[in-house]
Amino acid sequence: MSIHVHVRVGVEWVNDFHNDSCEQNDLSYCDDQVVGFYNHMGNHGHTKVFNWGNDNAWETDFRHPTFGGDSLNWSDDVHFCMVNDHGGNNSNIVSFSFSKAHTACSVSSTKMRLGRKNLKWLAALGCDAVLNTNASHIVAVWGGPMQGVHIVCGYIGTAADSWWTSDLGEDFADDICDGDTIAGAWVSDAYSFWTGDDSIAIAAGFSRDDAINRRDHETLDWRDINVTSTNWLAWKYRT
Amino acid sequence: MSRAQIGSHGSIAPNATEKPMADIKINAKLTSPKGKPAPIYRLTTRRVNEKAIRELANRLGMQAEAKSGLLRSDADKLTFSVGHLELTMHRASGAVRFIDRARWQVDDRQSDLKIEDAVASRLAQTFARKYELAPAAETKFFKAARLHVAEATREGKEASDRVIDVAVALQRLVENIPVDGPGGKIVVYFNAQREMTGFQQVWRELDGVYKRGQSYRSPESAVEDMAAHFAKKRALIEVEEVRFGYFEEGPRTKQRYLQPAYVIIGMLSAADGQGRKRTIYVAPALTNNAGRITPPLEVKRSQRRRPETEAGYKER
Repeated sequence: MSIHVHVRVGVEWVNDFHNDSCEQNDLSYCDDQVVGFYNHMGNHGHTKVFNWGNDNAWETDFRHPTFGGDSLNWSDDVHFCMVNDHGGNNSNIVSFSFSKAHTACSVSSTKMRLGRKNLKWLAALGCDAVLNTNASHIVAVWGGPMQGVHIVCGYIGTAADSWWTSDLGEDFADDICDGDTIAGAWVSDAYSFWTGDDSIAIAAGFSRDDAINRRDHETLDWRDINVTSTNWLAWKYRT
Repeated sequence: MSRAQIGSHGSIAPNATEKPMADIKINAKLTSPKGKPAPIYRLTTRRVNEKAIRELANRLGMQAEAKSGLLRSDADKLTFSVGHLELTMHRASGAVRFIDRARWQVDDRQSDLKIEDAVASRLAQTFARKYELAPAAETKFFKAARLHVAEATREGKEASDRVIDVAVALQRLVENIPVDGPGGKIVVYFNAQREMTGFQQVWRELDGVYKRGQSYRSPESAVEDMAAHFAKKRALIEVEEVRFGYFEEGPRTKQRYLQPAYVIIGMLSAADGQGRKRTIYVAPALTNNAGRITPPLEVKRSQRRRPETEAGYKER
């Protein structure tokens, strides 16, 4: 099955941190995963909008203007955004870490309003998109930030920064551009028996059926079928 | 000697006179493999062409006579499909993936698969034997991973969670040594009715002994390899596990030799616990090994500095 719409794609990644207030352990393969996704989406005819890495990746790109950020010009001005760096999750709040304070070293999910403009799908490849699979935890983490975005993809607990998972973005892009469902392709591609990566995809919907339908059937062709209100979340995961 | 220095408390610490580099802290017990060193095997890749894929499709019960079905080919793989059944062979490795698109990971919105690991393992072993994927003596149960579907309101009410399939991984054994890595496995998927809905096999054929094993390197020296690999990175890597086994690559990689290896699992954690990632390094385990396994880190060109503007895509 082929895809009939074009989507705008943006990616951000951080491998190298500095010995300053934003210091974190350096990573090595974040760019391989997300730039692979970016380029393969482009190869399939989709529009490559931004690829910001290391100090060019800014937390303001994810922070909503209500909180002084610029998300509506970046992460929320594309249809599909993928971000890969250190992630954290504390008290049901996800955070993405950045190497340069622009203007902070990290952004928390309480300052995200995902999907207020154009964003339909977010893949957060850092660790701890969720810490466990309790429904109360999942809705507490993502029920607030998902405000129009259709599906969020991520990991349960830690993820590997590894040569052997560096093709993930390419595989995922190829699968969804061939017409595979977004949630199904993510959960299948990102799960790894040998690295121990446990994958999860969370869909939003105005009703239970809407959320389930998106989780089970949504492809890139659903770009313009908006989530009118995030009343329900439906997710799938392998563990 | 690598730039890494063995520290005093089970760590490989940066030399203070040099620029910052990965600091390795060992939290796992390092154990050298016992017994006679295992040999290195030559590998062959099974032929991937129309005849081979039709033969395999026929063995799996697909309508595979000449001119039937749809054959698609690209640089990486050959795919044969009939109706909702799809069989793929990867050119680099000969790896096979079979999917019944009508049933694989499909939810009927009712079923809830409750199956013990032992039962799931038996189902997978029976399937592997029936289709002659691998001799039973050369596989062992590795893991069963369940696919869940769940829903709840935004407030967490009316929550439900069901299992709709189980993926059973059987791990390859060579010389009774487990084969680690993305390859060396058969993964069989079963739906809630316990019917096979797909499988994947990454299992390169052995082509005789390439080299007898002389002696094993110590796991500590493998950790030193990892320290050298990450020498230009500023990081604290806590080694949580070091596994020993043969190492087999994934479906998209050509591999000439199957050699014993150490698989080192490390954790990169921030002091506040807010930035975590696991890291994996694989090092050859024999002194007379067939070369490095983890490719060296690429030196990549830096991006041009991003302009400090408020503008988004339209004005760039």
